[in-house]
Amino acid sequence: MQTQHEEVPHPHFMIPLKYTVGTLISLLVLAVTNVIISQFDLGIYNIVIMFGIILVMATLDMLFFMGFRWERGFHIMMFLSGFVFLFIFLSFTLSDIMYRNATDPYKMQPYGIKNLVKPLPAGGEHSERTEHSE
Amino acid sequence: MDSATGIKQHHVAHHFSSSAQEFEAAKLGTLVFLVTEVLFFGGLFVGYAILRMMYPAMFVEAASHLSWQLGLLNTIFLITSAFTMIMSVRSAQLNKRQACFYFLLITFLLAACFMGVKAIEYAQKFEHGLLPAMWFSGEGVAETLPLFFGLYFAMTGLHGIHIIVGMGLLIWLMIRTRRGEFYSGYFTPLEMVGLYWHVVDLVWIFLFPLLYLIR
Repeated sequence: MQTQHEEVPHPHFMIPLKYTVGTLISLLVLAVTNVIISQFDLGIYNIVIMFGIILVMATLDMLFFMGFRWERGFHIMMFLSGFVFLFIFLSFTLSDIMYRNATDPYKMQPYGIKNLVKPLPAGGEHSERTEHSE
Repeated sequence: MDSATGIKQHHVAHHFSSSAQEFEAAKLGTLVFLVTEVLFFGGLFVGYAILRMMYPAMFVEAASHLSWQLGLLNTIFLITSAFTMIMSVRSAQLNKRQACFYFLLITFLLAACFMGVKAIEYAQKFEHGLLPAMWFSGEGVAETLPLFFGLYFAMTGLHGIHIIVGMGLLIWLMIRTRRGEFYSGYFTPLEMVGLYWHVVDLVWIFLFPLLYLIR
């Protein structure tokens, strides 16, 4: 039984040394570059360049340190699905925060479905409703 | 155990048909776990995005209270440790047991250096009263400064916990390497801890500029 196990071809893959060393040097250079750029005031470009460098560093880390360059598509898809859900979480939350106080140009009042909801009066009626629902 | 090489042969668990299947199953499980880790940190990053949008000027002031020099030093420690982690896996794949052990040891020491720098940073923050919420007693222009330090301690603290867990795993790997359990035919735990370590590294790649390099 044991010998049968050893005969099965293994999916082990050794990441070529030139990629790992190259990635190490690139990541260190990019980290230092990020610091240098942050020392200058480039206005809006500061954050654009910063995110650009972060994304390149993250990609290099995943491709050559985590070995996704040679990984099976299914595994890559599964790992990246985490980032997809994070993007959904982030984009919906930020769109809410950004446009919460935006004005509807037709109604000349803030947008928001909150206006359609009739607030419950405080006090007796509220407690009565709660009792009924129970 | 082979007395000449000191290698202890790995036996595939009975519920797997082959070592390849065993390895794939371990990888699948590890990646699923790492997705939950991404989402775990993701909540904090979303919190960060909201607060930064609401108080951009406060974040610029807050970043001036952090030392980018120490942050960069930690980045160098962590990126180098990710490299030595890969080298330990590679050494096991080449049946170089000693090299594998020493690369793991270097990774562990770099992680310890990271935590040492973090301890210095935390001590400075405590000294200056730059703490979250009601514990804040530092000096600053922005009233909302405690919000930043709430995020700072939550994000770097959670990341630090992951480093400590990683250090524990590295000790476990070093013991197993000494016993000769890893060789070209079996190095699954090394590879999986390596993946975990790279995700911890990945989180820091985002954390460092987002906290220390705000302008």
